[in-house]
Amino acid sequence: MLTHQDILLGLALPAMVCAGVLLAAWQPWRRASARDGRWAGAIAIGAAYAIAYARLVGDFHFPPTDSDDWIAYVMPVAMVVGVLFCRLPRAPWVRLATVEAIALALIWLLVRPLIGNEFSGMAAAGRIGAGSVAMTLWWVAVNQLARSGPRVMTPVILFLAAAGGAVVLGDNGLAQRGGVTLGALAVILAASAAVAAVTSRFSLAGGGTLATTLVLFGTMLYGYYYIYPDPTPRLITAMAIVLVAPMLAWIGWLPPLRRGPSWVRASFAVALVLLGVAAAVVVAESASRQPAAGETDTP
Amino acid sequence: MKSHMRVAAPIIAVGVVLLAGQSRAAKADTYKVDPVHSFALFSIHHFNAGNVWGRFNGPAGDFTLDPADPGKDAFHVELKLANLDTGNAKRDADLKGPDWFNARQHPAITFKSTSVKKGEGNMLDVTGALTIHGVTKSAVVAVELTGTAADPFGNIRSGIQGTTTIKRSDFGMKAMPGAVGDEVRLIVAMEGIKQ
Repeated sequence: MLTHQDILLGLALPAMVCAGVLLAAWQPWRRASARDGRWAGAIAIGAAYAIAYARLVGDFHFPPTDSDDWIAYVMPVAMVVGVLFCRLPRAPWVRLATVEAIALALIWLLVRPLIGNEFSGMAAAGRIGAGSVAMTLWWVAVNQLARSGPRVMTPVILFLAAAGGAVVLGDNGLAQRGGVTLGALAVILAASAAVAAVTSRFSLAGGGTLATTLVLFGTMLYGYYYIYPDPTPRLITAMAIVLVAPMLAWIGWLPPLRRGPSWVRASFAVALVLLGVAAAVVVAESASRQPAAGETDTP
Repeated sequence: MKSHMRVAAPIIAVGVVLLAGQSRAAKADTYKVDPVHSFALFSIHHFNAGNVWGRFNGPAGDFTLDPADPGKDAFHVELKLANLDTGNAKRDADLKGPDWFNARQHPAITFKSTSVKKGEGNMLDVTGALTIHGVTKSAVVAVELTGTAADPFGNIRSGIQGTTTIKRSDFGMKAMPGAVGDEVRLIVAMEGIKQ
């Protein structure tokens, strides 16, 4: 249950920080061609998420007592990489390798406490490798959407995915470290969408999509590995749909939609993603443990 | 003279054995916890109204008791999170999840004594390292020695009962403040079999 202070300091403040950083970077009051603020995407989302996490989860040890704390600790790395992506010459394979390295490191940090107990070292290596490749490919797809799509579309799509993830995890035993944290990410992305709406030239490509990927994909993976007891097939399906939903936006790039106005393409993409997220929520609701007769569902 | 020695020798031998048994009882004895006859309970305030009780089934551990020098007593307890039981399956699953104990990452609660002081009567003040949710803090437990006796199968059993109160927030468990209290009362009653 969020208090007024949690809402103010854990949601409103991070949203304002995100919007403030993005506005300062893109400076929409200037001429359209004046500023390229992509360097600030990871700083805006990463800093805002760290503030939200500190308030809403609020227990920072080092090393962390809960491995999902590493997602917040990795944000500074994402911020630096986000700036470098923008400032250094384009080198796609270097960027891909960088994202893969960060993904590998984060997933290893997330599942490290389970190695030896839940699965062997070899199995862990396979899981970490597969997870990092999936996370990197997810970033590639979302980043390309951010580069080629209308400016408001990607923040809105990512907002929907984060909100859907919040409901899926929050309803299945991760109310705080899942529901609330991804809810905070959704609020932050909504703030970025608002800035995109008033900025003639805006993109989350590069660092912005990287920070979002680390939080959203990382939290969903954390939920998959740490939920108790083992996630049911329905819950796994719901989590997968949340992560696949943003990819539905690519249908908007198929002919004949591709030749239409960008707002039609964007609206269609958002509608498809919304349908996908809604489907994930429906599946998750059916998967959430219902109390037996006479039992309360209050802990 | 020889007949007197024949009578006295067995009596002397019995006396030596009895005396040797007495000195053995005065040494420190180690007891392994019998999980069937041991209980670990906790209670926490709910919505500032009632108390919710729960238990950890099958507690494990061992303790050493030295009647001659209680300062040398030692206590080690391990409570597995998989055995948490509050009488409600959904609540148990939530408590074992990442928002609370995070049982996959921290599968057990442990206590290991570092110093023991004799209290009044059968009481001991036991200080030790209590680890919950991956966080270790010093805790003082009031331990009562509840008795020592032989069971019908020839085992020597000894009982202890420890109580303490902790704050869950000290151990990084901060979910649902206000709805669920911060103070948690722990009661551990253990019966050990002498090794």
